[in-house]
Amino acid sequence: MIRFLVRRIPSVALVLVATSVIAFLLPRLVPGDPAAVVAGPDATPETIAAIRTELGLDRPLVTQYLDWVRGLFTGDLGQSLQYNRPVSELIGDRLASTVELAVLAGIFLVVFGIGLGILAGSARSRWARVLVEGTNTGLLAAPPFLVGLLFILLFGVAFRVLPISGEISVLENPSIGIQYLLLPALALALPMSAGVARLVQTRMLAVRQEDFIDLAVSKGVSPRRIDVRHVLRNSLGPAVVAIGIRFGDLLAGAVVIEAIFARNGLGQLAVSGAQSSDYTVVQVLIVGAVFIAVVGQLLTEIVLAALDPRVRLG
Amino acid sequence: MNTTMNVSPRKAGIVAMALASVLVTGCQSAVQQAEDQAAAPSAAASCQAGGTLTIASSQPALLNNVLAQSQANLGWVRAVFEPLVNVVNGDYADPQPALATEWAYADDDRSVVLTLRDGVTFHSGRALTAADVVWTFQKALEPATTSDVKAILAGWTVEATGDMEVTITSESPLSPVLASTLSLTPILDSETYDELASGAQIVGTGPFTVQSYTPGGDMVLVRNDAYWGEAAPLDEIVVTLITDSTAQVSAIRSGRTQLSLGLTIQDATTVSTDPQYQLVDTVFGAYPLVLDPSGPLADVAVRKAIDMAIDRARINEQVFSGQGTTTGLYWSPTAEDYPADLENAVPYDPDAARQMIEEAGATGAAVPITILATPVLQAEYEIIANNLTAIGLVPSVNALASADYQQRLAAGQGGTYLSLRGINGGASFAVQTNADLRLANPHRTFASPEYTDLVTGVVQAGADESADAVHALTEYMIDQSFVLPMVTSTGKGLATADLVNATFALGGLVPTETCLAQ
Amino acid sequence: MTKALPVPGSPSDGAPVPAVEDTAQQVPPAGRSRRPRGGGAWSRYASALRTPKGMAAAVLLVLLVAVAVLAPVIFPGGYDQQARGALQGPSGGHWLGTDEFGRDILVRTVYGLRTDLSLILTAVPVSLVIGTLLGLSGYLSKPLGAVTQRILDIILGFPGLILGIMIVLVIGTGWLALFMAIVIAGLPGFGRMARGGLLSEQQREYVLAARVLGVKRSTIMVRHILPNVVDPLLVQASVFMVVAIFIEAGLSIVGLGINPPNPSLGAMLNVGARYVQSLPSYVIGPGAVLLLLALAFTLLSDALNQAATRR
Repeated sequence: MIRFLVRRIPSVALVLVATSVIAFLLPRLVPGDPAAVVAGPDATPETIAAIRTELGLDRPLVTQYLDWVRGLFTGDLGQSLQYNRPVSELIGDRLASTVELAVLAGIFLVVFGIGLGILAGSARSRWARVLVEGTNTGLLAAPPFLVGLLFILLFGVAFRVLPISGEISVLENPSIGIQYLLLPALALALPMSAGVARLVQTRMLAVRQEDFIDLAVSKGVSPRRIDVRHVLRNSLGPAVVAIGIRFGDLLAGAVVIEAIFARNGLGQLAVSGAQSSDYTVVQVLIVGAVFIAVVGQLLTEIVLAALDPRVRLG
Repeated sequence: MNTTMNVSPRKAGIVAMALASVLVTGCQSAVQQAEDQAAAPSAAASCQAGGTLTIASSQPALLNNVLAQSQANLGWVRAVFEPLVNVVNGDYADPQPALATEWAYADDDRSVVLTLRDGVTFHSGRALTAADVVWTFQKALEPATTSDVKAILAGWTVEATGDMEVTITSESPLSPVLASTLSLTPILDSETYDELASGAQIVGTGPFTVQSYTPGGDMVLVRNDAYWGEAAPLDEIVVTLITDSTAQVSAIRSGRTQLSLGLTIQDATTVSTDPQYQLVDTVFGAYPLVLDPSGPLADVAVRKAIDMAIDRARINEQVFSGQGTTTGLYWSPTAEDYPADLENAVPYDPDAARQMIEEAGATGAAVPITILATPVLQAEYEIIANNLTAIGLVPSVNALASADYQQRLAAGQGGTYLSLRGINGGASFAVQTNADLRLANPHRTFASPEYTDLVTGVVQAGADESADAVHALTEYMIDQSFVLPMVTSTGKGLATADLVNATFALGGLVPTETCLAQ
Repeated sequence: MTKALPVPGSPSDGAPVPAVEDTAQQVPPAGRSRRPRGGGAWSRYASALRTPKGMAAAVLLVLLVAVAVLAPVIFPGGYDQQARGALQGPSGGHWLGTDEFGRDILVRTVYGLRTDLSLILTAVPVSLVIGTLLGLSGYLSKPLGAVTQRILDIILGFPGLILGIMIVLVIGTGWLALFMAIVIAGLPGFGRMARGGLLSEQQREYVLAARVLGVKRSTIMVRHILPNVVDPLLVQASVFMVVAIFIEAGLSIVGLGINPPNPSLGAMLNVGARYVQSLPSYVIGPGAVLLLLALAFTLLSDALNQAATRR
């Protein structure tokens, strides 16, 4: 495994370099001047130009890029144009919130995704299968904004069981913190788990047709043992890959859920940065997200290899 | 790699039950905790002593914008920083003393002597003097500083004529603009100003000091016990960021916040009919459609037709839940020179408008409209587009993000656009500072010698001539139809019914008497 | 995958997803191309449509497309007939009630379906084709394959909504920007899937045999490999259809979706969510249509998948 990781380092490095260039250029391609946002709605062009100089935006692009990259290596992620604070601080304040949500949503995703998939794949009676598949399709078609809002209305307003606004860090106060996390994590994970469930279900049905399953049945192995030991283990591969892909979504993109549950996470920071052309913030978030996705990809391959001996870490 | 994946249902069930039991037993409900915190000790009087007011703001605090009025800062900036006077309820003629106790105009209305209040100290302990006032006004004039009133300050000379006395001299009449200009320029601390933008030091003279500030996040204010006036009733004010409008409603319904600023009026009115909540007036603004007199709109008849085609009443009803007014005038109705007789001068008459368009040969003309991609402006656009289509024009929308929108408008390249402007003074103040109306660096593209003359007339008019000057200017604006106010409206915040004395002056909430009823 | 909000369905839904370097995919007996003798791929798909699932899917889809195409005929007044009576409940004149500008919600729902279908039925196939070509390009030359893989990795890792926002802001709001956003968002999923199929197919004996016979690489790629990898891709495409709608919905929330007054299902759901307690029909209309769309594509992908795994 170590050799596998080492062999991947050059391509990871290449991806990060390319990403840094794209992350630098793409926000600047978007029309608009961040200095205009900082200057306020009634500002004169003179004020905007002065602020532009103050923010260092009129230096040549190459200089700005090199300065930024140099800073990345020394841990200086740059200064937010909007807030005048180090980007590392802005991210640090929100990292815990986003990670907590992503972890719990990830757990739900695994549990519900695989659970639903197993239910659908091993359902014997026709009615059970229709019911589970129906739930699955419903979840697939569930708009994220609406699901979150319905959760809020149901569990926060109609029956005041769980908090629906704000957050308390799980590290600070575990028992309270997790209550704040429950609804957002569920709202985030449930619709996504439908996709994973379909993967598991489809694969289970396909694997069932394999010859080695027939062999096991003819040997008299119990259906449950077949399901668990043979079918399931061979079906989880694609689910793992899908979860790995989704995890990137969880971290970088839970924007809607964060918005409606009033959580102060990275997603909000990213969107407000993109909308007000806060180059420095957006740049770092893009590079960070791609890096996490690449790491996730490697982890996925390792897990896949663990699950399926036919897969060799290439 | 021969591990068996063991996901037996029994084990899963055990785990689930364990989780459930942890949550159910011996674990305090977060909802209960929030309710406990919100319920403060009760007092006999209607205003309880102490307590925490949590304010939701739709935008994070903008620390480099304290010398301008902005939605982002409405909740906290007047708790920390104070101007020389405060204008409440649009009473420009009679402002309330804040850091200035007296002001004496000269006979020619070209200079005023302000007496500063004794015993005012900054949160750092330093005493306020006239030098601080002079410094603040000079700072506001600097190119890189964001200030609403630069254009007016540019024509002023501000001098410290004593330790606690400031004299302001101007070339144009002062009384129409003084209160608004002073009220929008809080006095800052020169010693800590350099660290204000980053939030490292936020030092003012106000009834609350900043205990903690998370950039782009929460701000916690605590009562300033060394305040020059009576100590504020509240112990603490927390301004928290909740960007989504419906999330703001959820927050107030769940008891997490008591005041919501920056939510859409449509969201506010989904619960404001409930007696547990109330609408709070914030700051007055206008929502104009500014026409670009080029192409088909160069013809004043076409512009007039557009003016007549827009169903302002329906915009008020459906976008502003009936909370605004549709006089068709840009001015604040509380100003003394307000031309009341010109209200609703242009009737809503789509049939006549259609005919005018046909006669002008503009049927089928394209009318691209630039908007900032916010819910209110988008909703306005939908109705306006519907109206314009009905009279034979072809509207199209150009929805921009704020960086692009602000830049284009500032460069005079906005074309025809929809905007939102704060109205913070009488006509003279508006034509000098408002970006749609002013002569220097306007956002509008319309220009004409008559307009310049009439605006100058308003600015230079003395007290007795101002009503006529404003009337003449307004008539011209109605005739030329290049700035069409859709709706003027006091902004609305949503508050719980137990919030008392939430007074909004120019610039934001003034919490000197704000408290929570028991 | 999706480059937007956390959405259900990854590109690999309903089909085996190979890892980049190797496959966990079901492996047909080595050496035998899955192209059936006689009939070809089309007859296999046709037979998929004859199953109950396939038929239901086809009927549903045809119905939805027909309603969308015929919208101007069924509702000649268009989707922007505003009036004073806003947010009224269902009545004889307005079966689903009226929206915040007095427009009929049912009419808007149908036109919204039209807008969404016009987007997804064009953008998803384009994304599918380009993504597949990118994924298969590895067969033409290894370095080319490596480069395209890295490009797809970058797009995949890009934070979804940010990518969408920036694409829309660069191109300017409207149909074209959304089209581009959806196409780009789908590329990594299709590309990965195609490449996975490529990796498992390119070692097959029939491919090696063709090479030995001197057939050009590009010909092999299109005529031999492609038909054998297209099955999971089609399945993935059908899931991505619904995901694409949510991409537009996500951009609508930040005001960068389809230009008003043009309706779209996602935007209507966003606005209707505010009124879910006072006027539930506002979300029930578009929500039900979305559900039907998802159901149709799900059934279709299931039917196609079953046909694909049949031997």
